[in-house]
Amino acid sequence: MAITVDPEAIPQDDIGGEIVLAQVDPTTYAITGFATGTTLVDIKDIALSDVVQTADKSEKKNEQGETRRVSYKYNLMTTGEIMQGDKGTLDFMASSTKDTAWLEFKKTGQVAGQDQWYVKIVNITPQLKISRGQGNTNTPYESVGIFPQTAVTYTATILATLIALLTLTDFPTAAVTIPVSEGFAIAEGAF
Amino acid sequence: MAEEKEKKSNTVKILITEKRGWILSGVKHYKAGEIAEIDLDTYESMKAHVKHIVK
Repeated sequence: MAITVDPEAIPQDDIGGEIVLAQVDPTTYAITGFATGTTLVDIKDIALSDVVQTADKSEKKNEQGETRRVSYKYNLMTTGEIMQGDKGTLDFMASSTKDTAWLEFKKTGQVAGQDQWYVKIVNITPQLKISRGQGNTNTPYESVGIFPQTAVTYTATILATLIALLTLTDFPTAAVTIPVSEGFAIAEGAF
Repeated sequence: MAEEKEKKSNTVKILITEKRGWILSGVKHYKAGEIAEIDLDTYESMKAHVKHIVK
């Protein structure tokens, strides 16, 4: 999509939150099951999230030390703090995430009249943190993007199933393709 | 018959030419050289990312 000048595209404060996860086969990237709460999960309240792409840079220099070319390897990551501290959430984050791959939809909020979701296939770091005495319980969320071997498309029918089973709002309804080169897609849903 | 026609107009047939192929999740991993008949919404999503020829 081309870049345009659009003040409405400047995100407002206090938006974002919500991570929708569907467990996928690590080879075919197909959703392994539609069991709400176990293989399909909606983590609604997230504090302080970040969705980032970083690049490891490699500069190719000639004998005079002049850079002639730069190559990059990309890293995709989502981090945040999960606000819920119930047993189901803690068990999921500490245990269910082990040795599994997930299709992650991270809501990044309302921008330019659309609800924006950042979509990628991830491994979730299994971890747990229970804090007391300094405000909320915050279990950290961290996922690392997996670049698919082959471009993979999730159809509108699959998205409609997720919407129905998890009672999602503002979720993308048009098919989403995760390309090999980027490893992620930005999808939009009307709110 | 009319229903059949409408169904056909809402789909597109493509020959996958992408070396790595293309995965239509939950349906099939199409290899290069295979033909897929997919709906227009799916086509719009994948067309920029997977090399193909419209048949």
